[in-house]
Order: sequence, then structure tokens, then C-alpha cells
Amino acid sequence: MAVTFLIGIAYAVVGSATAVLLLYAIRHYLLGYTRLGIETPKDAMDLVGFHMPRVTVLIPMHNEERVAGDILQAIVDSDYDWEKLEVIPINDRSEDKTQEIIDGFALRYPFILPLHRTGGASGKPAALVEACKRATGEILVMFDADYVPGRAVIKMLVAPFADPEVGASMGRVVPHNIGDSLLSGLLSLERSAGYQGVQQSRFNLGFTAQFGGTVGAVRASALESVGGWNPQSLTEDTDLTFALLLNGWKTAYVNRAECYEEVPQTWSVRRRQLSRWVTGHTECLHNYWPDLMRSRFLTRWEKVDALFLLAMYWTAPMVVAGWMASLLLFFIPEAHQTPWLPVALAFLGYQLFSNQATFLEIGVASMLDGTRIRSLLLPLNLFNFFANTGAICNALRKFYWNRFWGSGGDGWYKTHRTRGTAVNGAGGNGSGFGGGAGPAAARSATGLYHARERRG
Amino acid sequence: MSSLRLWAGVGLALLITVLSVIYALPIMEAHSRMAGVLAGWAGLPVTAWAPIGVFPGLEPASGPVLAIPAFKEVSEGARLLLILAIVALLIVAQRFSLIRNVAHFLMVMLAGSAVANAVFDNFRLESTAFGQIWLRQEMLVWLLLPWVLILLFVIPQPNLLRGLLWVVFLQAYGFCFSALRMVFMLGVMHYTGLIFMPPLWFLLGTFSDLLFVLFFYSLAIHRSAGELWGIRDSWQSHF
Repeated sequence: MAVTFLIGIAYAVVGSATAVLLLYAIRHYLLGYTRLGIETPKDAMDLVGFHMPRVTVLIPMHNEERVAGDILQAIVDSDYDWEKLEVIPINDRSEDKTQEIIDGFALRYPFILPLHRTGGASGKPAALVEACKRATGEILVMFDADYVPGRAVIKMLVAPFADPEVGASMGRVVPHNIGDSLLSGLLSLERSAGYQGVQQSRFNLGFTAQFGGTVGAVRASALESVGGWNPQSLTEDTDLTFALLLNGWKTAYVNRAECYEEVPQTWSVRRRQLSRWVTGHTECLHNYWPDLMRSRFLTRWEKVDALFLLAMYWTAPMVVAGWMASLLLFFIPEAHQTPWLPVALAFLGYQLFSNQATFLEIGVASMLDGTRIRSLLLPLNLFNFFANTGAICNALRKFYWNRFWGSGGDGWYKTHRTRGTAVNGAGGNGSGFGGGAGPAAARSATGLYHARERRG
Repeated sequence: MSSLRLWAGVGLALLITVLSVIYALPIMEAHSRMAGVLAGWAGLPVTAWAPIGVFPGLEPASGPVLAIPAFKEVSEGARLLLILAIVALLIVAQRFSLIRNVAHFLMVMLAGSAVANAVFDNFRLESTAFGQIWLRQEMLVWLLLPWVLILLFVIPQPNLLRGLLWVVFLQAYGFCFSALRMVFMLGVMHYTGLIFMPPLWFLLGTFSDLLFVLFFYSLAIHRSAGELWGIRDSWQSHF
């Protein structure tokens, strides 16, 4: 009797996990195939340069001496009209030479208006809240400090705002340190699938693109209408995506607006980054799902898609629970029938969450981007899957533990940078990037792709 | 997405699945014969092939008869190998962060297996029972595999004929690879008992099936990405 009950429970667990993963698989395969079928990706490229409102660029920084000079120089080099540009580098209590670098740039470029924070709540969302009070732009463009935006990225990110219903826009993140470690190579495949594949596909299908505060823009009035940034959130960008969505604003995705980032090169850094994403994302799920289901702005399919997006990290513990139940069935002789469910679970589980993208989506993105060599790393994602699953389960365990006991959690964690070397003086990063000792306010001659040149 | 591509893929997957169901017994027999040949090459003393019931309502297939020692009969060398395996996994977990979780999982399985073997030192798993479980699992994989393969190799890839050939090749490869893995596991169990069975089952079971699919998928993508570079618009319009 007890054995029969145990077998029943185990089958229920494996069955539920398989059913949920099957739904996710269907969603991801549809997105992957849709992306392949798109002849003309939906974008606002025709409007680039046509719609040029006043823009404020916000760059939160905390101990960013290794990268601060790069991004400031890249923005100075951008082709956006300086008369309509305001740059606010937010130095959030840095203890290194970040302040010197920022001030060096501010001396030479009058549109760079530094904000040096010495008090108040710490973390990126709190820094953004304070900076937004000073911002005068109609559109607020955000970059992470380790990002290197291309020359036309600001124009591209701003172009979709010609549509008055667009509240935010999101560009494509492209890792530039692909060859520095195996992990960064694997993460580059994940990023390609996520942006080139899923984001573009969801945007074309009319689902909301996920806004990312690393290379994105938001309409100041839209931000104000939803009550501004949520300083409590660990993923303020995901939080804003859903706040905008619930208030009827659209988020546009701009695949051509490529911005170059540094992905984690070690697993300890990756784990902490993933942990922050999982916590912030799951927090958004709890905060927004009832309102999402009731929203009058969203169609039924948009609601379903949004719910799938918010609940995606739950799949990791479901896979683990399914495996454990399969193992139990394996060791109970009475359960040795036809192991359909465990085999199906293995196929679905492995292929779905190799990373946060399916293997199909990675393949689709590799074909569209023409990435030949890196695609050979694909089988290693099966091992990456185990590492991800462990990190996600651990983060969820912590999240629910803290939620249950009402404790504060881990708080904000800044992703460790490995690029560049420490600065030797104000106004530059000491590695030949812009800034330096140039007396006049001028765009650099070298233009983009500094990071690649320097690596070589 | 062209309907020809979709129907060609579905048609091939359906054909393979139907043939696998109709000829399930001959397929399993062929698998056993292939395993027998490989076991012979490896010098494994398989004494006979006994009938094993794999699925209810299906005639019995053949399973290998091979001595597998209980824990108390296992040689000292095998126990030393267990310790060495755990140490090796510890080193791997320390040095290679990508596979740290897998290594930890394998270590836990090895340790659990060692404890279970020590506590139930009379427990035996007959080689025919192993063959039965193996064939049950792999047969299901062969039924599911063509559907997974058309999703990855036929529908999204630019060359339809090559995609269909990939499916046929990988189905055949999966069949042969299964026999090879089964013989390897039999060999390990014959010489070291059941200590290494749980981690090996994990590594050489459906995980291996997925791994070989992904290996060939990466090769297919590698080739397609090279061919499509710069002409993706014209290719997509014909997709």
C-alpha cells in the first residue's frame, strides 16, 4: 500500500515536471522557428536620426576604474547631437579612481554632469532613482559601466520613441570577451539565443520585449507614470518591464543596437550574477502575476507569455524534483514498467535549460549570426546546464527562505569586472582609451571596437 | 516555414517510429547480437543469451548472461578503484568549474552506491535484469529520437535532404552507440560489481543519448552557419 502510494506520488511529480517542461519546450520551439521565418525583423531603423529628442544617458558606477573611461569615451564618440545630449555618470561611493576619471571627462565635455553619491541607499536601482531627479532628457538611456556602446546606438535606441505608445526600448547585448574563457564562450551562445533569437521573435509576435537596464532606454514620462524605479528590486529592469506593460506602454526591441559587454569569466562570478537575476525575477513574479492576469491592456496570449517569462526559473527545481522522483521509480521494482515519463523528462529537461535558452534557439541564433566556431561549444552546454540548475535552485532556496522568515536577502551584488587595468591618472583608464590628456572636446579617431583592438 | 520541409520531417519521423514499433523485437534482437559481437571482441565471458521480457505483450528479447559479483565478492582492486574514482572526481571538481556540479553529483552517487553495497552486500543484479532495463529505456529513446531529430535537423536547417539524412544516420548511430555503451557497462559490472553502476548509468544512459545528438547538432550548425553567412535573407525567404 505504502509502496503504491510512493509510486503514485513519484509519477505525479515526474508527470507534472514533464508537462510543464513540455509547455516551455513548445513555447521555445515556436519562438525559435518564428525567428527563422522572419524575413524582415520588426525594428525602427527607418526612423534612426529622424526622431532626436533630448536624451539623458545614465551610467551607474561603483568602483569602475577599469571600465569607466571606455564607456564615457564611447558615448563621447557617439553620433548623437551633443546639444541634445546629457550624460550623468553616477558614482555610487566608489573607493577607487572612478571619481577622478569621471571628473576628468566632465572637465572636457560640458554635457557630462557627474553625480557623486556619498549617502542614501546603495545599489543600482537607488542610484538610478537619485539620478533621474536631475535628468532633463525626454528619453533616459541606460548603460552598465562595463558596456561599450557602438557609435549609433543612442540614435537607434531612441528611434522607436517616435511611436508615442512606446515606453521603453532595448538593444542587443553582445559579449566582447568571448575568447577569454570557456564560460564566456558558452555565455556568448546564450546571449545570442536570448537576443537575436528570443527577443526579436517575441517582439515580432507582438509580445513584450524584456527591457534591460544594461542597454536600454525609457521615456521619462512613462517612467514617471509607473512611479519610477523600484529601489527594492534586484532586477529593476525586469520590474520596470512589467510595470510599463501593466500601464499600457510598449517595449520595443532593437536588434541592430548592439552594445558590447563583458560576460562573467569565472563560475563564482556567474553564480552570483545568476543568483541576483533569479531573486529579482522571482520577486517580480510574486509582485506582478495577479495584476498581469487581470490586465485590460494585454491579450490572453500576451498574459500567458508574460507568465512563462516570469516563472522560467521555477523550471530548474521542477527538473530536479522530476529527476529525484525518476530515481525513486528506478529503485522500486514494482514501478519497473515502461519508463516513458522519466525518458521524456530527461529529453525535455536537458534540452530546455542548457542555459536559459534551448539548444534549438542557440542553433538558430548561430545560423543567423554566422557563428561557426563557437557553435562547436554547444554540447558543453549540457554540463553548463547542471551548473546553472544548481545555482538557480540554490538562489530560489535562499529567496523563499528569506521570504518565509522575512529577512532581507543578499542585496545588490555588482558583477566583477576583469577588463582593463587600473588607471594611472584622471580622465582615462590608462590603457590607451580616449580620455587621457586630450585638451579639446572632440570625438576620438579610433571610433568603436576599442576592446577588440586592445585584446589583440 | 515551408510545408514540404515540415511534412517531410514528420513523415520520416512517423515512418521510423512505426517501423520501430512493428519491428521492435527484431530491432532488440539485432541490438543483442551486436552487443554479443562487441562483448566477444572485448573478451567478456558472456555464457549465453537468455529470454527477457522487455515490454508487456511483446515476445521476449535476448539478454546477456554474465557473472556480476555481489559486493562481498568484489576484489580489493575494485574497492581501490572506487577510492581512486572519488579522489579523481574531487580533483576534477576542484579544477574544472564547468563540470563541478556533475562531478559532485557523481561523487554522491558513488558514495551512496558504496554504502548501499556495503549494507546489502548480498544484493545482486542479474545481467539479464540489467539488459531488460537497458532495452526498455533505449527502446523508448529510439521511439522519441526521430521526433527530436526532425525538430533540430530537418525543420530549422537550410538543406532538406541533408537534414533527412542526418535523421537516418543519427537513428542508426544511436542504435549502435547503445550496444557499445551496454557492453561497456556489462564489462565494468563483471569486473567491479555494482559499485560503479549508478554513476555509469547516469553518464551512459539518456545523458549520452543527448550528448551525441548535441555533438552532431553542433556539427550541423557549424556547417549551416558557414553556408548561410551573408545570404540569410534569401535563405529565410525560402525557409
